Amino acid sequence: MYIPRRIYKKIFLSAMLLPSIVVASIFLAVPAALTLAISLTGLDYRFTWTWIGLRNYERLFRDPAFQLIVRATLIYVAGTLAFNTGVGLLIALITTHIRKSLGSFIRALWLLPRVLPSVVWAVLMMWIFSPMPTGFLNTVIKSLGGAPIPWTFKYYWPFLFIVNGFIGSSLSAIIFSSAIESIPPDYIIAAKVDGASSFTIIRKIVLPMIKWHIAFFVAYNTLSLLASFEYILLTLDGGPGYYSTEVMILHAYHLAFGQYMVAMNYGYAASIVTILFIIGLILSIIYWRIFRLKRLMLEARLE
Amino acid sequence: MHLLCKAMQKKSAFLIIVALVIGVVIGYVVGWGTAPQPTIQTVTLPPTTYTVTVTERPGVTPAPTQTVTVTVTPAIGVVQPSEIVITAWTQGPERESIYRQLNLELAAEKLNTILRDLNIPLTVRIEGEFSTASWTDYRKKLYMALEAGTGPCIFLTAHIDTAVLSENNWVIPLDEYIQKYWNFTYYDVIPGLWDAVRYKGRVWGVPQDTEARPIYFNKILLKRLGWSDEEINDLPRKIRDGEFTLEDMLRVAKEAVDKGVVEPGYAIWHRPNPGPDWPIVYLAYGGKLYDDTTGKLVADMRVWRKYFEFFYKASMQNYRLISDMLTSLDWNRDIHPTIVAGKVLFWMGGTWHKGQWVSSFGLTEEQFWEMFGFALYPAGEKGLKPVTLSQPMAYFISKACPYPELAFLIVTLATDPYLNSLHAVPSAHLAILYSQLVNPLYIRDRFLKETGYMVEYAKYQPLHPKWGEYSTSIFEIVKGIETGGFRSVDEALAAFKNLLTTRLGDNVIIIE
Repeated sequence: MYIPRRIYKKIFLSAMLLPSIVVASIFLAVPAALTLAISLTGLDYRFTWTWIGLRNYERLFRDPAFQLIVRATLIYVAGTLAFNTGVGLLIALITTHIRKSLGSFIRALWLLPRVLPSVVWAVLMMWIFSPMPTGFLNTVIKSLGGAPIPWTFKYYWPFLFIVNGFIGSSLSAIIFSSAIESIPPDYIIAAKVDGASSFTIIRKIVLPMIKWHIAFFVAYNTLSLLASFEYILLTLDGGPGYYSTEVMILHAYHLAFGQYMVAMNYGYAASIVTILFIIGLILSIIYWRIFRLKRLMLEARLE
Repeated sequence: MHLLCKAMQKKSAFLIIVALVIGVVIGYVVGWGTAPQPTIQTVTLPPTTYTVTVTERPGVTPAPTQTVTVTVTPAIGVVQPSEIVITAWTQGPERESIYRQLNLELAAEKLNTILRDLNIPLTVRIEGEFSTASWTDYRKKLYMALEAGTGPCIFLTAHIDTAVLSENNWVIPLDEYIQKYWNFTYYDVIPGLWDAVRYKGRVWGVPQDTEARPIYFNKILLKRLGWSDEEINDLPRKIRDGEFTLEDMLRVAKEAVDKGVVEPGYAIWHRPNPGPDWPIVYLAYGGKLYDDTTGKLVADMRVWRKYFEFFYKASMQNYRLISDMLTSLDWNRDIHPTIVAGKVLFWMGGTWHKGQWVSSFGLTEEQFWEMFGFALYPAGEKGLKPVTLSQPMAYFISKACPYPELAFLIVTLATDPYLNSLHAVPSAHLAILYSQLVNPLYIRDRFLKETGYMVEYAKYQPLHPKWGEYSTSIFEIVKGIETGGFRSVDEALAAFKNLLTTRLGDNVIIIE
């Protein structure tokens, strides 16, 4: 049977895209739609779908804890993003300016926290930075004659930035370093011939050439941090004080699955998640515009 | 593939696809052929009739009785050797409570012995697990399984879950079975325990154990403070008679910190996470938690004010009795080792902690009796009574269980003075049966003997589906006070009221 080439091409492309469309719908689109639907119901321990419209959102905005969790989310996302991008860039720059094998080795070492099971990493960090005199750092300080410092208790945001940052910056280090290594060496040689210092080379040549990669990473990481709560849950669990590090998604988790008697407030928790979803959507559109990611998609600018 | 010509490529592709399809068909046939066969073939035995004397008011003798004729159709009948599997999930989390699971297995063994002697070709096997995960994780797993209908036949959980389990129709009411098997063991259960599992007029669980939550005080530290041995040994009595109140406790703790006997923040310690203990001080100040007529929870703000004042005074912002880091600490890594090391003056704990300290934290029995005394929570003010809280555990039978009466029989056989003492003694839980109080295994334990009186002063948490959120809100406010999140009691009280109204809505009555 003769199928016209045009239609054949369309069928062929659809068939190739079908698996990923199916996976994306089942595991991404459908749960998102369901969460949106649940946020409009009063689903709780009774497991009955009772449509209550926007009442969950009303409750949420009137909840005195709402301001606290939004503040915590902003601090967390901004701080960890800065850490991930900054430290990743630093590692990438350093490891590409030394011998290639050594550079790869260091980047591989930096990847270790990411491949550790999250519970192991969290327990390790809690032990190192434990506020009790029995923690690792405090034992070292005590043996040097100092007083134990309540690390996770007083400096909890830097602690969280470090715990999450070691995980996130390994990815950015790899992206940025491969981007740097793909810069045509002619530019660097030309600049060196002109007498530019390393610092000037980095500022004027390397950074502008990898700006697409930085833009991509910032966009990707912001969205991923909005929904990341694993390490906060395992280490501080929203503490140490009254909602000090309770980010929005962690609060939703606690409302649905956590706390003393498993609150099971699914409808209410879903409303928080839906708000995060909308924020993520808006941010994606903004990033699309600002970073002109459309141009990124058209041509291969990201190797 | 480039080595082959176009025609051969097409043929190879065709053959690969055919092989794949045949492989899938073979796999399916093999799977169908080796699927486990059902082992029960049933045949109904004829029904039997017998008379039962039913006591109308359990626990009250002499009780009005009536004679009832009951016709019983056996739940199962078998024709060839077979095995019935009853699934059971129980929870510690401490390993010392493992007899919660083992007792069910021992009960099944009892039943199997009887069946063997009567030449009935049936064995009952208990399958399941004893969980050492946190209560939150265990409850999550349990609730999800019950909702999905894949839950275990018998499961253990705290009595407090009764409201949720019953409202969701996950468990069967056990009144009829308890009446039927009354003379086996249920006549012996201490009557107050039935209140803990009675919701909306029906009994939903069988009590498995109970405990009391005392205040442990460190005798060595008190001696260093200048107390004599007589004063130290008299403290539990003073508390029991209402002579020593919570204000006195704050005073003694403050003295200890000021004189350097304990480090600041180590005078009074409590649990670091949400749990049943949080309302105890409120009850000590005479507060009410539940309104029987409306079935709603109650929050008396006048009493909550006294409660939060207690914690505010004790926090690092004032007397420096409770460390501000306490709510960030870990039970096993930080809290138990510090108490066992003798660094804490007052510990608001539970009777089973003694069992844990001796089994898992390296404390010997002699060291325990040298270091620790224990008493009820003192009354809030003079004129009120001392209190403690008990959270009995109970066995429940799920609605999806295919053999509910058999499961209930297993639970009945597990509820016996010897088996229950096997659990109570190493895990330091209290007796649920009167016979246990004279059981040789039980009375040999000095700790259980000396804490027995606490059960009379014990209160229970109210049975209400929203209780968990109420209790968690208390914890969050105390955490906020201790970490300096609230600068005054008024601020804390306002935040507490906000949390209650947002989370519980009209399930709670707030009294100003």
